Amino acid sequence: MNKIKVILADDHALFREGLRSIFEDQDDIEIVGEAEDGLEAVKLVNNLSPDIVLMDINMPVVDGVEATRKILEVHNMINIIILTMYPQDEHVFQALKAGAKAYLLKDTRSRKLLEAIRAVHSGQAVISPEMTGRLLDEFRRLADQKTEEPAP
Amino acid sequence: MATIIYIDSDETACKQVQSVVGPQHNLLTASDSPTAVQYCAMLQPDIILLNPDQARVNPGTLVPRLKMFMPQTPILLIGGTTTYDTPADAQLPASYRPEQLQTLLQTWLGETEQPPPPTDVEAFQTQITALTQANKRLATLNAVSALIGTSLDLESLTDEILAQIQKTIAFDSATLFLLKENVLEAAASRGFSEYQQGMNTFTKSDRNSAWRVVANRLPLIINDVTQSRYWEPRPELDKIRAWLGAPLIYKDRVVGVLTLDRNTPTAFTEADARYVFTLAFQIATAVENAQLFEAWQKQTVRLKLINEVSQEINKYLNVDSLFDALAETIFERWRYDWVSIWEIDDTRAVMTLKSAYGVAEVPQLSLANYQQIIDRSVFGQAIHSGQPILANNLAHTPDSLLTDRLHLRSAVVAPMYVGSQIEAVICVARRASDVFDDQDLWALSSLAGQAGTAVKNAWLYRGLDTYSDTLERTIAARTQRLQAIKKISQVVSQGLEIDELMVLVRHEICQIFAGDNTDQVHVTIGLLNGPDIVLNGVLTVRPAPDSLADQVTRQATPRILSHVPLQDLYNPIYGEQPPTMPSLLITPLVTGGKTIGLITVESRQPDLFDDQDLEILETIAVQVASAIEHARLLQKTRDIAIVEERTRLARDMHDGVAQNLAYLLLQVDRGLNMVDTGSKLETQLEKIGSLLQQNIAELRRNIFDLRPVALEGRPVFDVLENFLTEFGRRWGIKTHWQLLGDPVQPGLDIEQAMYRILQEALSNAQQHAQCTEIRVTLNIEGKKQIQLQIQDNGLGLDANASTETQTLSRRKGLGLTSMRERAESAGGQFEISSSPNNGTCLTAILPLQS
Repeated sequence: MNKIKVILADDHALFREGLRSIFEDQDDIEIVGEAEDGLEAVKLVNNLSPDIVLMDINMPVVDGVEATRKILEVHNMINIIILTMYPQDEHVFQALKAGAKAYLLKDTRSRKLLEAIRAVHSGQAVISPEMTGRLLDEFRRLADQKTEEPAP
Repeated sequence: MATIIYIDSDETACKQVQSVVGPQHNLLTASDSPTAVQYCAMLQPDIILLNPDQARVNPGTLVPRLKMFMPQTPILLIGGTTTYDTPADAQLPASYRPEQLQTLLQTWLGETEQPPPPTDVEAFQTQITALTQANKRLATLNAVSALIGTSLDLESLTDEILAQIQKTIAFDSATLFLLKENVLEAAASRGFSEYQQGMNTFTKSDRNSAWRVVANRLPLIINDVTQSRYWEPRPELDKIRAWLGAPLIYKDRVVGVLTLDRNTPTAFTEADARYVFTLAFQIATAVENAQLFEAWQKQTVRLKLINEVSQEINKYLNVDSLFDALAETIFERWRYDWVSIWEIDDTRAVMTLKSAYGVAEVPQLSLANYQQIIDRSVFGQAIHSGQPILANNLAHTPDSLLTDRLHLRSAVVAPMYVGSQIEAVICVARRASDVFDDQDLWALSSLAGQAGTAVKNAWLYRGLDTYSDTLERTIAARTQRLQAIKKISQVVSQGLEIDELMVLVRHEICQIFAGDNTDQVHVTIGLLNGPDIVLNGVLTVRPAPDSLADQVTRQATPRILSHVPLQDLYNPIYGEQPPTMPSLLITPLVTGGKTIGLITVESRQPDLFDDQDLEILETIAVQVASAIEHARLLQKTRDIAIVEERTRLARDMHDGVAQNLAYLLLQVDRGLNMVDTGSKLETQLEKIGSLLQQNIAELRRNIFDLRPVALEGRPVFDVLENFLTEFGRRWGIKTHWQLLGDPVQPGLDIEQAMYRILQEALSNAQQHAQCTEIRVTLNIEGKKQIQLQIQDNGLGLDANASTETQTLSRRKGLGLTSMRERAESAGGQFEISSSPNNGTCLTAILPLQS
């Protein structure tokens, strides 16, 4: 069976190590590369063509959202999962608009995290429960905005 | 050889006659009547020829005259076009032929064309005598003619004339009369035993011989005055028997009469009359010249005096001194009995005596500024007509001042024009009546004119002086203001912090108003803080309503007050016994349309400030207000920036921690994978995992300032109380909790604000205050607002006189600022009250609903 090839992009070394240790116990998931910033992430993706990228939002040089955009411009089949500490982050919407398939909090329990990876790999979009409410709110807001705009 | 006189002004005609008369006869031409008469009288011609059609001669009068004293001499009119009814002997028409004239002459001259030869020695001698006499007379004529050119005065002149005449005609007494309107006035006389006897004056009368002479314009001989009805007898004249009078004619006008008297009757002959008549013309000219000269001399003297007065008064630029000098000079030079100058007021109803010299019998009149109503008197006439008035007989005009009180009979009043307005009058007067003439009127008028100009100059100078004074002051004030503005500008543009700004500004203002004596003046800048005013950053006062300070800062349109000399007006600002501040300037500090405080400038010296100082202060206030506001905004921006920075830092800090926790969580999960299900280790790991999640969540909320988890689903007052208790237990501080009023549920924002404020306050107290007790009181006031008060018994805030609360907070952390921010952004207020070693009390007043 083909393992799911994952690239980790996160500037927090300890967290990367944590994730790594989780994946090491899994048979179907393989970490093929680690990046510390968005630029490196894009380079690695170009070189290694993974299935999934776990992308942290807050990274130096190039942040997660930008990196997402850059990657999907070229490799639109890659699934990008955004990881972040802060659901309030404005970047939620930007990342999803850019084409990320999932948005998860970093303190999601590992079991759920693995489930999400597998689900995304098989084609589903995963949005953590905390995010759903926010997304709906944003959706509503955008809809209201549209109706408020004066007719040309 | 005959002597012919031809009277004609036409040269051509004269030449023509000359050619006819030829060298056989003596021809003399006269071009006008007087000359003609003279020649006739002098030369006794044989024939007189006259052209009647000339402009200068009236044959109607001339011919009878000539006939009258030369009845034997034929008068022929030649060349006239008109017929004249005259006693002329013959007439030739205009276009006469020379032969006609020749014939005529021959007819009238007769055969005797040569003087008859003397028949005997007697006849010869008679002729010699006659010639001698004629010679003498010619000499006299010459002498008198010479007198015309001299500049003798009238008296000496007439004396001289009479002396000359006496050489050639014998008389006992003689008088020279001058004609003055309707009076013949004797100008000189000789031969009377006393000089005065001869100086008679005869008014015009038909019965007077001299006046007859005037009327007839011809000499008159009275052989015996006792027989004549034309003799006006006078006591001094009783010796006179024979009388000869000749008119003095100058330019066809009778100017006088020369009379010769003898004490024997029938003393004068016709020849004498003719001779004197000839002289009379010369005498008339001489007399007239002398009179003119006299008049000219008088005029010159007058002009000189006027000039001197002019120069004198032009020295004065003060009008009162000018008037005084003028009156005095006129009095000195002209020797009038009374000279006065009056100033006229604007209503033209009252005149004020400015200066008077001479008679001052009425005591009030010797004082200056005596006033009199302008009435119908000469003064009134002069003022209302605008013309100088001459009154030679004041008894006839209503003038109580001059006549009744000063007993003056003649006066001249001249109005003084300054520009186009009559501003004053000059009056000169004499006790006697009929003393003034036109010359006096003219002289006074001239003086008034000069004086008017001098007064105008004085006014202009005064005006100019005042104007330049005012200008100087205005410029000085303006310069001062500009300098003040510049100075303040420099200070405020240094971008200082509020404390330093206020100190420097106060110093500058002090210098502006006190110069070097900066201890004389005290400057205070007060900034509004709620209902209070903080003075110079140190002293907080609450001005009473309607006190000065309240008026200046509270009213919608701030009033500016100045000049407070009374102590009690100053009182209300402080509400306590103030020092005496006699001079005070207050102006509000207004920026962006709102009043933020005030500036006061005080001084112990009374009445030190004026409107210009107030203007300067106002100008400064604008700048200062703007600068303070700017500094505050800058401060706020910095504070906000700091708070934001702090928040960012906090987040970064928390971020690391949060990520670490997330890592730990992963490790826990890993561990759970490895342990046996249902084991104690599994339970423990799950607990740890759960705790980790909670903490991460809490951190998250903290960073993003979300509603604290603790508040979820529990009443806020319980939460706060618990927090306090836990805190106290944690840090070993005694805590007291008090809840007052109805526990009404506040809005979510308010709950959060209260929680965070309490959190911060407790944290501060624990970190900085070194306190042992903390008391928290929650007071729900009505249904409107809630008051949260946190009191500790610690060190208190450092209330150093030269620092502000904001500086303090910056030094000890930004907690106070952020608490204030939370309170204010929730629509509430935040107050700090603290004193050294007395602890700190923080009070947040929040509305129940935001």
